[in-house]
Amino acid sequence: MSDYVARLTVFQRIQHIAVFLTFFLLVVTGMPLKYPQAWWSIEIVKLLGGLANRALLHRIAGVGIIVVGLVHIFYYLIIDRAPLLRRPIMFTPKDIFDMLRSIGYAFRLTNEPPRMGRYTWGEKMEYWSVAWGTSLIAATGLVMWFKEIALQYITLPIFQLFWMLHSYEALLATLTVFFGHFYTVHYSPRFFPGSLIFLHGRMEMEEMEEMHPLELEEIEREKPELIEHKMPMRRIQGFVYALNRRIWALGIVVFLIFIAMTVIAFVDLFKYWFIGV
Amino acid sequence: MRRLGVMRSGNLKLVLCLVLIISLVPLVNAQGIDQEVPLDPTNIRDYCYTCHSNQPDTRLNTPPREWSKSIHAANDVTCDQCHGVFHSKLRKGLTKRQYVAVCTKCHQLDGSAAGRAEPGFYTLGTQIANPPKVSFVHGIAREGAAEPAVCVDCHGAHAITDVDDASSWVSRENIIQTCGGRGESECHASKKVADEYGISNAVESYLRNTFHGRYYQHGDKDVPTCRECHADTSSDAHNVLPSADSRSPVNPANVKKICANCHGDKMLTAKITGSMHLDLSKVPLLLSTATKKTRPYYIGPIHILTLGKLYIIQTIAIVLFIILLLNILDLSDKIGEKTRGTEEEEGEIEEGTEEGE
Repeated sequence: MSDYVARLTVFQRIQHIAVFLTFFLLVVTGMPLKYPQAWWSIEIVKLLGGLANRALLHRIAGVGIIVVGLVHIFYYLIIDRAPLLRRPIMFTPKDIFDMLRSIGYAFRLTNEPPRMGRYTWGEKMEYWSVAWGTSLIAATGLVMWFKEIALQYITLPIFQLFWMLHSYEALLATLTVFFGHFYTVHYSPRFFPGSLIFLHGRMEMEEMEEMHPLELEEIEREKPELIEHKMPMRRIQGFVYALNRRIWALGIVVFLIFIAMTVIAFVDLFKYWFIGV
Repeated sequence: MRRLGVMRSGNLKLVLCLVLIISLVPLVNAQGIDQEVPLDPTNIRDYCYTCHSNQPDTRLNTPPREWSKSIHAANDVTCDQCHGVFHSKLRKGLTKRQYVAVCTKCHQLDGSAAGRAEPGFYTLGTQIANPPKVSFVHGIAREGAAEPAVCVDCHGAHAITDVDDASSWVSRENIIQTCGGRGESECHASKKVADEYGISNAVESYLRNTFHGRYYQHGDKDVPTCRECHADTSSDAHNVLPSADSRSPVNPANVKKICANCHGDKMLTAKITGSMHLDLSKVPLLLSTATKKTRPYYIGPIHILTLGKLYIIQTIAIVLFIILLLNILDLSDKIGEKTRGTEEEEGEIEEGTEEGE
């Protein structure tokens, strides 16, 4: 039995769950308004119980994700007072080289994958995308919510720009999550049907050695108590492992089906990308 | 030439026929549609229905079917009042000019005849003959343009019902399609018309680039359609004018009042500039080379919405190249790892059993 490393605190796990619940609610209630001419659009609004419900749920979820964001900011400003710029989530010059090496490794140009620390360059980009995207969407969303007040200070063209940014940042976030993040934690043969790190916060030793070797070295050196010798959430995790051994190939099929479905859902909308807000 | 030859040959039958036809001409009134017909309207309807209702050809029976449900049928405005009684003259329908003449017979500005008083109709009626400089926009045949919209282009010819009736062409349910253009007429849903008149593709931009249009497509009953902003329906529904005209409801000086109708009095002090009808295909990707720059959208040579357009490109680039490409490359790696892993496991098991034996 392999060892596990405790990586995510309970607070971090709760934040993640809160973000993805509000995020999915926002996507489901938002996209029908971005693409009213899509075949799934009317059906989703019906499922939500009408336009008024859609608007209400979108605002509730929006307030929810803003609250999560504010809690996050205040926690790391007030309670956890480590110097901001020296946190492991900050970009360093090494990330550029790591990224180039990762791309080179993916294209078989080099046989050595990069050795990364607490957060890989991809994880840092994901984190800062979420931070930037949420800030932008929250700000523009509030402007659109309180348009009567906002239009006292900004002109209609600026308002339209805000709307456009809200709309396309949302699409970007949705596609990034469904193709990028979902691949790494759901469709990937290593994890399909899904990684449970978001629940127990423990990462397998082999995965640590591959993804975060520098962090592992540091933990072994300074905090060996974080290394646990038992499988977390034994029942469920064992079941997921067993499932993964049998149906990992299905993940690839699901991934491809998902891409196909997205193309089908958006195919008649692609031609409007450049003329629609 | 051949015909002359026949006449010279003295064909008696033909000459008699010609005489007969010529002798009938006084009966067929030369003034056509303006002729008072001393016939009972119900009779004339039955007369038309002989062919136009009992035949299977839809081209023949559609007009009376539509008319029978119309507000004109309810008010005993029968076929002859618009078409006259002389089939040979009107079998190909009315021309645009004739339509105006026909409708204004009853629908006058002063309301003296039947029908409501509509200033738009009046100006339309006089404009065709002598177009003034600025007036009802649909009544003006602009320079180099085709014929303008007349009554029937918006209201339909036979299926005219009350504006509050859902089946009316100008009802809330149908107005978008009507302004977009029905039948053969290309109007505000057509890029050709938009370019020709130098206006935006209004229906397209309404449906795609306004919340009003998006809610409308979801069946919202409260959002404004064309007429709530472009025609002041409380006084004169025909007062559709270019936004540059100071009498237009969407003129910059008036538009805030229109917004305030739904959004409240705060809108009276809002900074409403630019256009609700956004056409992003006209937004440049980088700097604009256009000589005519609409003021509120440009900061120097930069179009405000260029940033939004760059965001679209960013979306496509990130999703396609980084995520899809890197993931698919990673996939082959992980499949290799997985299949290798299974072989090793099986190998171990086999070794184990051997040792056990």
